Amino acid sequence: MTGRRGTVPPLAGGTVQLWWARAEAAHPGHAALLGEAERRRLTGMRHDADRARFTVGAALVRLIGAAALGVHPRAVPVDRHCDVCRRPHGPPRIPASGLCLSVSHAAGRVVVAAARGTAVGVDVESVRGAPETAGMVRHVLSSAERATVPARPLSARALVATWSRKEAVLKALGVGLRVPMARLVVSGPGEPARLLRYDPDPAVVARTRLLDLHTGRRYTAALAVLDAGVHPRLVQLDGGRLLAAHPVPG
Amino acid sequence: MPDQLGVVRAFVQRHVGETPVDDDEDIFASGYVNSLFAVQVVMFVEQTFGIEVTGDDLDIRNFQSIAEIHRFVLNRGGERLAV
Repeated sequence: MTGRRGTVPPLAGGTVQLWWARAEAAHPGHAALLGEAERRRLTGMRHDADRARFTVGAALVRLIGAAALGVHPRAVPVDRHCDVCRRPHGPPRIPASGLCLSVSHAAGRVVVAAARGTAVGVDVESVRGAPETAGMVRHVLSSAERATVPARPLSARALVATWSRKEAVLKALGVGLRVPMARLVVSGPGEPARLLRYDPDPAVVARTRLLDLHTGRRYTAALAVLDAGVHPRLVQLDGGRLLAAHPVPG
Repeated sequence: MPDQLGVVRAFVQRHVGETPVDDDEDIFASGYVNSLFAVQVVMFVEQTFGIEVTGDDLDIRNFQSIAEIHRFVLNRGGERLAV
């Protein structure tokens, strides 16, 4: 993992930066970097763990945006409006930065994907606490995927990994979970990640590169990149270091 | 006997902890639950109200809040079969 000095390396086209951090990486003062809408959302969260995860993700987005725009993290114009309902729960966008960003958190993990000029979607899930496998099979897998389920039942991990792959694609497309998971077909759990079918728009398949990410055996994670050629370059970075290098009073 | 809305409220409340959740509050954006919780909601709706939910129903807009879940149950003619 690079980024040891706690700075944001230049982000070239065709590259995806993946900033990983633990949920507890945020100093309470990092909340001071956030914008008004983000702080309002933070206030609406009543569990410390939720606040911690959100703060880590939002602070990383601002530090990455600050490096791209050359401004203070607090001055980064982060837009989180949902395209559909205009409520501020959409993916973070930083107009005029050329950056495409995606944030995901689960249990103790936070990841922010950043790319330039190409849409990205990242998803991390905790295997522990996942819904029971029968429900996952029925509601997450498409009929084509169910038909290939081996006689031996799929493990919770395999099903959660499938969820991560699909959610990464839906996030990259900017549609989120408004598209039912059963309308996507991805490769089987033991195979390299690939999007095989996207029923709402078949042309998406050729545009999408899907990758499994590894972040410990208690988690599954995947990254989807649109229109970035066959081999986007992944750069794994230490988001905890980046946060630690920007202590803020408070 | 609790009504359908009460049953939905109790289910959501059980999963988000002691903090009271408003009927219209977006339970996913509030950070109470993560996206996978949508599957749990669907399973709850099926088992509790005897509604068959297909994979195509797993649209987050149906399950974003207590009020939306309740509306989904009503639209599908769900009956409260068991607590």
